[in-house]
Amino acid sequence: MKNTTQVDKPAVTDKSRRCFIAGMTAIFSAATAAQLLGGNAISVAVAYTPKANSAKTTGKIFSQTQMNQLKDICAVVIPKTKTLGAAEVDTHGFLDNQLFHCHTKDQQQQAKSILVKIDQVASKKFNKPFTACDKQQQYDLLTSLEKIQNGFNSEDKQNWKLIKGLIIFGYYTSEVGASQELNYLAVPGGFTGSVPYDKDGKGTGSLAYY
Amino acid sequence: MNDDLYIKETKQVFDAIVVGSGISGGWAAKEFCERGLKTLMIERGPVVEHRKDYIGEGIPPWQQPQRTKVNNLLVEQQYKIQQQCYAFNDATKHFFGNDRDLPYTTAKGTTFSWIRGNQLGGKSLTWHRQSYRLSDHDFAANSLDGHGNDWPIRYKDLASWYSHVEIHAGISGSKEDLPQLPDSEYLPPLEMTLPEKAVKASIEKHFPGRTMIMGRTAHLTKPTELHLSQGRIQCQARNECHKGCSFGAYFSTQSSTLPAAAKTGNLHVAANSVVQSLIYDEKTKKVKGVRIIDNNDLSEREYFGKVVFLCASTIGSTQIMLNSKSKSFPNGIANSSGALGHYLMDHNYNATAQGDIPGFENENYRGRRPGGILIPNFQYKPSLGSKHYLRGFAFSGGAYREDWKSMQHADGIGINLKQKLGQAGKWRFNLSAQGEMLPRFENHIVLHPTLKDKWGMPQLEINCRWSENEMLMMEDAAKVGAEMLVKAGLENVTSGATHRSPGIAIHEVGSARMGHDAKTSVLNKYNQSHDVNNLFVTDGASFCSSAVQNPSLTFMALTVRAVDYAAEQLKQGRI
Repeated sequence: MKNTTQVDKPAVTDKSRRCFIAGMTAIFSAATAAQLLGGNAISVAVAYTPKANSAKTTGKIFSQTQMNQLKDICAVVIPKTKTLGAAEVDTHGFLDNQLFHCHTKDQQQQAKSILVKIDQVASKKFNKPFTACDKQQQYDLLTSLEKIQNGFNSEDKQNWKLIKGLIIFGYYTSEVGASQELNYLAVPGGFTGSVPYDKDGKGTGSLAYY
Repeated sequence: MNDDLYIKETKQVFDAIVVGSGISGGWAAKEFCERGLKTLMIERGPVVEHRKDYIGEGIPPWQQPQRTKVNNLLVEQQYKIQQQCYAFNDATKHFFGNDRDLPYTTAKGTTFSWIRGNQLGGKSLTWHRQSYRLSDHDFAANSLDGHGNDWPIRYKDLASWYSHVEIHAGISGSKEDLPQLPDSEYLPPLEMTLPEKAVKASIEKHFPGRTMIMGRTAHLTKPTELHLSQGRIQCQARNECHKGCSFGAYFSTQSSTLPAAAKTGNLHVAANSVVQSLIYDEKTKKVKGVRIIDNNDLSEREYFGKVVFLCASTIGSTQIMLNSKSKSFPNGIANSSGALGHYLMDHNYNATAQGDIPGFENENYRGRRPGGILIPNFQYKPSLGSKHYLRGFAFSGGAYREDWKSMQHADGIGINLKQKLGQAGKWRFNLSAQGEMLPRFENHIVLHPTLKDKWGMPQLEINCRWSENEMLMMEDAAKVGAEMLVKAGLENVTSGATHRSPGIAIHEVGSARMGHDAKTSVLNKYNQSHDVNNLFVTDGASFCSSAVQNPSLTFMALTVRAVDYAAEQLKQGRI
């Protein structure tokens, strides 16, 4: 159920973007920061567009095999129900892009290492990589990760929380997650302090600060 | 806006020059213009036009490059300090000053988070809109405990000016008859949720002398004819104000004071004009105008006027004065007292209390309320104060239902997780303290002896730290907050004091204080400098104490009162 109102917005000026790009020349001098941080402040700021084939291509951070693994993980964490799940809206592709632009090299390393560990445990327990396990096996494995069992340790859980947090963030800021799975009110029309909450009702998707 | 509004080079001698276009500057410009005076409003940053330049407004997260997060490298290199601000995100970053271009230092062993804008409208675009009058308890606080100097004004001097600005701006709130928080001219208050009403009832029952009210906000909950005629409509409860609001539903220079000023035909605006210093005429003992360095090409020019109002923000105005040296004023213009730069204060945001509200499963709210509740300072005079520290604090906060952002941290994956995150979670309530900071001489700003910024101006060195009074107050606030929540039946109540820097409240005041005595203050009771009678400072720099209330409404009232005085003085030929 969408509640959107068209706001008659005049054309966006490109001035701010030109200033942004013009200012980039000063960034070349900050080599140290570039080494420590991820991101590419020079790259054109375009919204991440969900792609159908992210799992089959090499990512900015992850290898193609890892992208494929990440897709399966997304499908387990937030599966398809009445609405599409995290994998269907290319949360794995978003995650790869977001880690690249907004997270440190250390965090990128954390993300990669938990994928490696998940595969190691899958091999040990099921004699196959994570992507070759069936849905129940994948679910049980990740659940055991959260319980710190099966050879996973607490450092693994910390690394897992980074990935899981990004999957959740990526899904609930996607168009499907924010506006179909949740109620997205672009223009609520005013604040009402008391309304009944229907048990099968949805939570609100759009909040001012993410 | 007509093409003549924005100017660059001009030989015109204006009646009034207003430096700054934010909360204070916008009001000064409007009031001078409406009195028929030719006014130049100067802004160091670029133009931001209402609606047209709100480039972050109305863009859903999935259409933003990083879903509201700012690119890492950009933050590190250009917004390292500004990113500390709660309102800083990818859709608002263009309304924050660029830290690479606007560096400053802090004295060894101290930190200060100087959060600021750098565009037309200043922080009136990004403020939190909380608006409160000061009371006589606040004006008397310094003289009662001996910290700082006596304010040269009292509530009766400002009351009608508060009304004047409130009617134009539009302030929502409820009449409460509180001695420490005088009522404003109100539009209807924002609504409380049922859990908030329950907590309010508990506080009033168990803690006589305390109350909880809806916060007073500069939002058009119900616009008057005046507001509608200005092209402003009712607040739509998006709570994305910091991106700019095309509805004009909250007060900003763009939505409210600038259009009123421009309408008179008496206004000119010089944007991209960094005021380097004031031009002082030793013979006439007056300020003649200002020296400008262009924001973009660093070229120099001058503007001239009969009276100069500094409304460049607390630290910005003081910086200009410190940098305006002359034979008569080797330590900065209008600084014969030596008080310029001193008695800097900010509010203390270093205590919170929060907990779960049991029940209310069937209760929800609709819309994103742009302001929360307030527990006004109940220690507003010495007899009501703590035994261990002076002055007091207020709490802001409110109730909300958890959503996916907080519910995601628990264990769980798959269908159960999706089901849980798809619903509204339990109710929670939080309180954040806003504490008064004592005025101290040692908390001050100076010009750095060697470091300069991109415009060749000396950088500032800020030397400001919390004293023991502030720290004891915050520890107490955390306890007091928790106590009230436990008494109200909340569960899993946690609380604590933190150690964030001064500056992070973004309510910095002081450094060019007013006072009766020209030997210990910079300004008189009309915000007019003691030393230079056509120089006025009407923003937060003029404050003698920080009080507990958010200061912006008082910036507005002081400014319009000072314009009224200055315009009369001009008319009588006395300045």
